[in-house]
Amino acid sequence: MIIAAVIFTSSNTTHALAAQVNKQETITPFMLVQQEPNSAASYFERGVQRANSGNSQGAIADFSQVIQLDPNNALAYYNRGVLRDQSGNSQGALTDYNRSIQLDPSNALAYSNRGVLRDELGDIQGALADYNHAIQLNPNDALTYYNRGALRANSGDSQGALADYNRSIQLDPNYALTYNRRGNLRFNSGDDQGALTDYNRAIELDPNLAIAYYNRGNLRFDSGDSQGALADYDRAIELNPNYSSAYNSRGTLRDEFGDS
Amino acid sequence: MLHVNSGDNREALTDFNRAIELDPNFSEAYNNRGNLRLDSEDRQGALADFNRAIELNPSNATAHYNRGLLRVDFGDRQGAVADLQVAADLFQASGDMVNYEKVREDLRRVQQ
Repeated sequence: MIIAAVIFTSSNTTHALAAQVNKQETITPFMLVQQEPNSAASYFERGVQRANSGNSQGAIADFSQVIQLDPNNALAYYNRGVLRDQSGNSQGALTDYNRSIQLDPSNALAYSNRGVLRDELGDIQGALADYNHAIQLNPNDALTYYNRGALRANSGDSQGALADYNRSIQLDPNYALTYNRRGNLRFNSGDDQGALTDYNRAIELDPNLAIAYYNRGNLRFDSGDSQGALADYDRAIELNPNYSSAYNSRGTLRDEFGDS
Repeated sequence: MLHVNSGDNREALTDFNRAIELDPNFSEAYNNRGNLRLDSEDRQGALADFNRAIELNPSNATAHYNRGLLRVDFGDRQGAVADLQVAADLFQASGDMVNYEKVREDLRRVQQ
């Protein structure tokens, strides 16, 4: 019998870093509201505050107000796009990013986030074009390299992906997910030692990163370290009790080594 | 990956059940549970799992291979050959030449 090959589950591309809400100006909001309670700028400030305190719906309402009062405010579209994006409204987010880019083609973050969205919606060519453009506008954004690297890896461009991950790590050496991704790439190309180093680093940076334990478990399983693999699967499941792939891999391990 | 040994393995079964419970479309987990059931002589249960694995992912080469061998056991040579042929094609297409050769060998044996 052949047992199913080890499966990788990659975490989703993330917009966490790029999705920071931009502040438009640094005037104290309190003062501003007192002076001009209904101005676009005051809604903008409150929208930023609400977003930062987790009130997404309130923030979306504020940025919609800004847009009504100041229909050419590119950053308001961008911020509302981020918030819609985060709350799962992909079409609304896409519309906002499009408009923001139309009004201000120099905002690298808007391209970068639209790239992630297009990627998720299956528009790979569009996503790649957006990442490329974002990098052209800002060659120092670690997250855009990370996302482009993931896209390249998924489309079979391992060399390009590796270059992107390397660059991303150079720009931000503390982002655990990039090591995890590069680890997968190295593992798939037979560089087990390099992969192990990357998974270890990912776990060191984020000891709660279930996917890195899962992937290291697969590597250990593959290289005959069944005890180490079991410990990693256990930990991945402990961190994420709904991790179906980890159960499947642990079951395979137990099946193979007869841990009754 | 070659499957070695194992008898009654409740913990593994629990894991596969949980994987399937969490993700009812998880083709590999059905395939793996099928293997486990086969080990404990539950051939009907195994067949059901391989069928489901293939239904969920018709490109699951290992499930075709496993069902192919099981069909040999059931005396269904025609069905076995069909499954092994598909498995061989899928392994070849994915560049997995080790398993491709292995399946080809089994195929020749079944066809004799």
